[in-house]
Amino acid sequence: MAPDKPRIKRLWLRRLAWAITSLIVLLALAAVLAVANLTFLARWAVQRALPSAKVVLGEVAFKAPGELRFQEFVLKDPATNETVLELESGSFLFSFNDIRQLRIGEIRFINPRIIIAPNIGKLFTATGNSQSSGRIPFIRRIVCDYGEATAVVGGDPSLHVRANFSFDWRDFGSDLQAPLSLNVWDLRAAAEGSDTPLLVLHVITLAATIEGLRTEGKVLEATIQGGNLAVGASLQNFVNGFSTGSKKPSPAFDWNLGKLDIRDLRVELEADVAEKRHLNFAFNTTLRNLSLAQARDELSEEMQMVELSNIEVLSPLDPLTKVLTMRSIFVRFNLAGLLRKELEEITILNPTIYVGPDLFWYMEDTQKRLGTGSADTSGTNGWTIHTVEVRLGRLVIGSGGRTQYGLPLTFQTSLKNVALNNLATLKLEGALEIPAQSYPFPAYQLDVTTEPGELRFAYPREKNADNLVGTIKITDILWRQYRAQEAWISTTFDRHGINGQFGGKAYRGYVSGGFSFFFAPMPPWIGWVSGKKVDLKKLTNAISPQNFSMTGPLDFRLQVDAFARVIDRLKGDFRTLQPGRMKIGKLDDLLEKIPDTWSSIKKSSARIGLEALRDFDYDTGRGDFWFVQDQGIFDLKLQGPQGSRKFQIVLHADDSPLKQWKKTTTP
Amino acid sequence: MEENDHTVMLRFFLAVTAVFLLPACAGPTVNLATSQPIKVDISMRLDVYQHNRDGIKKPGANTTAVAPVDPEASRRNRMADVQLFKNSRLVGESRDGLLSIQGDAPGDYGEYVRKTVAQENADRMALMKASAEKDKTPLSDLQQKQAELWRNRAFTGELIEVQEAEGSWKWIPKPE
Repeated sequence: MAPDKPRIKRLWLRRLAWAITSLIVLLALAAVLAVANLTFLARWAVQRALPSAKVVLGEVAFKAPGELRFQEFVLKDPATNETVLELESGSFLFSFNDIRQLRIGEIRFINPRIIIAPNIGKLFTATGNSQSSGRIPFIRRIVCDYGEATAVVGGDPSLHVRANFSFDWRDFGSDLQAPLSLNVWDLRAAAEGSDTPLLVLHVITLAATIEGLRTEGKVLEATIQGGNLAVGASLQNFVNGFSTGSKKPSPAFDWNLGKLDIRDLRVELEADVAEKRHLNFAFNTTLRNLSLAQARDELSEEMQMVELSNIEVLSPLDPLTKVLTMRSIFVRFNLAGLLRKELEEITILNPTIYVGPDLFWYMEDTQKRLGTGSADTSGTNGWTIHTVEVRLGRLVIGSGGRTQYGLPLTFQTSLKNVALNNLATLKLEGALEIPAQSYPFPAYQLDVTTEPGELRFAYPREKNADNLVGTIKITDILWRQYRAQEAWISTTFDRHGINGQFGGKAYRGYVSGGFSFFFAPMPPWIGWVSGKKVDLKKLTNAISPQNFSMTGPLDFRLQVDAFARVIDRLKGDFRTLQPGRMKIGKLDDLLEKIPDTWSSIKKSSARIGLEALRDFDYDTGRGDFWFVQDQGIFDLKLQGPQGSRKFQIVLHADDSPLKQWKKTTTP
Repeated sequence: MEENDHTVMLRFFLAVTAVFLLPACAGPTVNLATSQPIKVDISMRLDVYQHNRDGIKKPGANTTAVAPVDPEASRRNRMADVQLFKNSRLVGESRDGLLSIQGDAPGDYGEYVRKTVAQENADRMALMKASAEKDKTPLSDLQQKQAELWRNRAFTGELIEVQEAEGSWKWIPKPE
């Protein structure tokens, strides 16, 4: 039986060879069949892999050894028959080693277009559950150089989102904890029916792990670099529709974010005014560990601050004339507030209001434009500012902004809940606080120390009312050598000029008066002052110390007509109220200079005459005066028990005697 | 002896006479004081001349000069006269921005008033025309604005022409 063993062995070898040959032939036949029906097989395989989706697949063919290319791959939602994924083409690359290790070598997507529908996640699972625990295939590389993704988000109106993306994932599926990144750029979101995007994001980088996405739907990190967000009526409509509409956030967006980093997102605030001026600011923030819904809420509630600097508001009539300048404006708000048209706080630093005709023209011009219907007049959709703070403000009283006259004052104010509900009928009332401060005005030889006061203003100007009304209490005021205390000044401003009244204690009496300052080049102004029971001794000591003095109380009136700092005309009168004494101290100099060479009689006569002139006790006194520029007449008439004194001082601007006013004057 | 007695008697007589006569030398009191205080009325005028402090050549200072007279300077030079007329209520500010004679002044003074007012109005018109051309504003509008400014600048008591509610114009002293 021993010789049978080799024969049996050969028989089995022959059978094995046949079997192998048959297998090879079968495999070859299968391969030929498979290659011949590659598209059918691929469609069958994909459909098996994605039973929840409807698969449309074009031609599948080998383009080179180890490269399987397919054309027109489309996935549709069988329920709606809407396309959710569309690839122009793609390829599978594999090598012998890949086959040996039972992995896919490389999948390359060419120009994929993904339509992110609400239930897209279900289409990629075998069970229809978005969070599948199925095995993840190992793919050496998945790459896409350029793809497009579109999505429709929200209710009525919806938001249409489009973005480009790319990715290059290596060893996909080998380590489920390894982060994979997705690059997205040029994301644009526009309201339905609008070509203008509400949101543009320049570059977005998303990082996630397979395990995190599968188990928690977690994105490790999302970084947004650059972009624009237009906050206005369109976004407001979208948010309203999103929150009230039937379409709620889809599970596709129900992810968690480990970290959201936003840099240089420019937020554009669409001002709801006729001219559609825009306010831009940069939005930067970092948020951690929140859901997409939470991220939306956090972003919308996070306080932002933007600074605007060196803002100039110019006259509508003269572009070279400023009516308002603001060095810095700090605006605090959040996005949710912006959508509700609410600003939390506006702080204005170093504003300067140029009170002149151009300011009132500007206010009237603005009021007219707002009243023509371009602004919201419904009273239901306006802006509200919770707090307005103004600090270190200056009020420059001027004739038009180019050249300022008058007195700069500082002010501050605080307003709460300024409602701009209806700009056309907006009424803004407030008070500019004048802080206690000393104001030196060297050009006017004036020093003013004020108590806290306020300058009330109303916008717009009411009919027959003034725009700015202020009463400033003055602790001490010193003009040249004249001093008043416990004084006050009340001013009103309108387009024609400034009107004011003032009063205060001075020289044991009370002085009151008023002025009107007219806005014009070389602004003219008039003023009037009257004094009651003013102590003449103190007054004459201030006017002409030691040279001339009078005693007793005095009433006086004075009117001034001037241009800017030049007094054009002056007119007044006065009268004494009680007996007093006049002394011309200057005559003492003459008395001392009486020559010794004169005879005794001559010296005595001169002395008696000068002393009679120097000292005079009077019962009554009155006088008047008028001056035009540098000429005029001053009359003083005193009556007393020792006679009368009549003095007339005539101030001549020239020595011509021809003027009629010189001829008619008599002492 | 008799001669000595006579001498003694004479001396005694003189002594007695002196005793009686000396008191009589006091005589009546002469009062040098006045019954009323002496009253002295002094009236004096002090003229203060400022000889062209700024070096500005005033109109009329050199009558041989042929240079055109600046209306503003000319106005400034007659301001005192105009003020005197206003104080006397001889002239007032009219609705067209010019001076208007409202009072009668007799003789040469009246003629002087009329001549001065005419010169003043000529200068005002020249200034207003120049301003109207510069600003491209109708002269009548400018006159109205100037008239309003003159009214605003008027002193209390000076005559101004004001418009009444029904539109008519009347002359009144500017109220306080």
